[in-house]
Formats: sequence, C-alpha cells, structure tokens
Amino acid sequence: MNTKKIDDQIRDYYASQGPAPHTVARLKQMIRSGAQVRPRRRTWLGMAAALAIVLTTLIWTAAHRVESPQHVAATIARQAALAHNEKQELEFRVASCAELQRQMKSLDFTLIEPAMMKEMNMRIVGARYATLAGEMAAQILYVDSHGVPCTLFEARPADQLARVVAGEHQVDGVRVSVWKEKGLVMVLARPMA
Amino acid sequence: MKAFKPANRPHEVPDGIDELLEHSYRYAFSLAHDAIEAEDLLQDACVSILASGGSWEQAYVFATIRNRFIDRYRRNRKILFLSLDLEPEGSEINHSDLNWSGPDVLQNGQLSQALASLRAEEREALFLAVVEGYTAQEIAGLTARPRGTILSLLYRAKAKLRDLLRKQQVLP
Repeated sequence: MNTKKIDDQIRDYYASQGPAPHTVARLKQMIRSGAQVRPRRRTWLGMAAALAIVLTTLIWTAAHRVESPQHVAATIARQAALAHNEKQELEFRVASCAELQRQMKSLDFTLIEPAMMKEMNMRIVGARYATLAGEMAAQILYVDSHGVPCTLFEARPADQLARVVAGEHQVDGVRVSVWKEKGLVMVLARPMA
Repeated sequence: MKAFKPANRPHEVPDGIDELLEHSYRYAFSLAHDAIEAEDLLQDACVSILASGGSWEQAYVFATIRNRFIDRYRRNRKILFLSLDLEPEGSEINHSDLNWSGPDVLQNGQLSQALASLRAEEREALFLAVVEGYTAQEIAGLTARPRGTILSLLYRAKAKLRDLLRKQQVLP
C-alpha cells in the first residue's frame, strides 16, 4: 500500500473539494450585479441558516434512498415551512415577476408568476437563490394586501422533484401547498388562517 | 496571508475571483464538513460582503464565512466552538513529529470520516495551517484566539486524527 505524509493527504483531500461550476458562475454573476443587492435585514439571516441545514438533511436523505412521492412532498413542505418561519435575506428586491426574471439570470429555468398569486392579490417583494430537494430553486417572498408574507419556491421538476405529488400540508402552523404549473414545481408556504 | 487585488469599481469582479471562491469554499468546507452547507456559507458571505461594500481580500472573506458559520450554529443552538482558554496553552510544538507517514487513506474515505469526527475549530485550524499555510500567529489573528490556543488546537487535531485512524486500523 502507498504511504504518504498526513499533511500531504490532508492537502490532497481539501484540493479534491470545490464548489460546483454552476455555483461559481452564479456567485460571479451575483458579484457583477452587486448593485442590485440591498442592505440585509437581520431577520433573514436565520432563515438562511435553517434552510441550509434542512437542505443538507434533505439532500443527504435524497442521496441515500429513493423516497416515495408523498415523502418527497412532505419533506419539501417541511423545508418550505421552516424557511417561511425563519425568514432569510433577500438577494433581489423587485416590484414584478418580470423584473425578477431579468435579475435571476443563473436559474436553469424561467420564473413564472403562478395564477394563484394573482388570484390572491399577492405582491412580489423579492427573492433569493435556494435549493429544493437538491435542485436549484428560486425562493420568492410575496405579501398579501395586509402585509402578511408568503414564501414561494419554484424549481424544475428534476430527479426527486419529478415524482412529487400535489397536495396540502400543515407544518408548524404553516400551510404548505405543493403543485406543478407550467412545467415547474411550486411550493407555497403561508400562515394558517 | 494571501491577498487578492480588490476591484477598481464597486461591482467589478475582483481579479483572481475564481481562485478566491475556491479557497473560500474549501475554508467553509473545513468548518462545515458538508458540501451543500459550504456552498451556502460561501453564498451568504458573498451577499454580506456585497451588501456591506466589504473587501474581497481572502482574510476578510474567510472572516465573513466564519461569522456566518458561528451565527447559524448559534441560532440552531449548537455549540461547536468551545473555549480552550482555560486549558493550558500549548508550548512550542514540533509539528514535524505530527506529520507522520501512513497508508494513503484518501481513496477510501477514511480520512474524510476521521476529519468529520474532529470539532469544527480543530478542522479549521488544521486547514488554515496545513492547506493554506498560515502561521499560528496568522491563524490567531484571523480567529481572534491566542496563539497558544491555536498551537493546542493543531496538536490536538493531529493527535485525534492519528487516534481515529488507529481505531479504523489504518495506522498501527
């Protein structure tokens, strides 16, 4: 068996780690368009932390076993509810979905405004990049006419998300709707009435 | 410490940004020991630097990542950074004694498992010293810890790694 100094092995180990190319491209794009980033609201930081942990758990789980469609839906519902409760910092602040489409250039799909948001007279506030079951997603903040926030995730239905089933979930006082619209998976978290 | 040339204009991509993002990701990975979380930490740090108009120098980016890491674990009520201030500070340690040779364990993931068993602060010190080549004094400056504590951390991390690899029967 080959032997090697432990320091060299540690260097080799970390050299083998690196960000995904699409992440680097997205971050460089974000730095280029840095003017669009507004000062952070501290309340959004917690959601970033919580979502990262939930996503880690979710992706680890996804990588190690094939989940049933119901289980995938329940898992992303929990993730969306947690993200909704925790609040995360927005990377983009916009006044319309069209403006957001122009700004979130690193998404591998085109954002849409779900019909439900128009019907509910929801107003878009902003968004951030996120992941949903390991897929790149947009996490979009809407508010209703009373200023009550809702969190919408949009993602391409790839891998596990392809098998997700539509339904309603209730998690930690949050009502989560999962459905597909115009070829995208939609997950909407809002306070229970 | 390595320094990257800052951008001339506020939103110009700084020179050497690819290298900086790679180094920063690896630093985040040394803290979290998780690829997804490391990417999230890096993204959070970039957003924070953009929002505050901060510097794109490596030490500043590392410090931002570190603060994000501490914030998120505090919020989740996990205690990953334990104070070593009450423990005796390490005397000058001959690190060549700790750079032992052993079977190449990288291939089968045993090194990854062993590193995962270390505390975040031990992995961090090890990464900064061994991979980034920072001196104990520089690490002390970056992490706001006494130099002696950094030497203790490095000694302990290497000793733990050796014990863990022995338990895995990788080392005699």
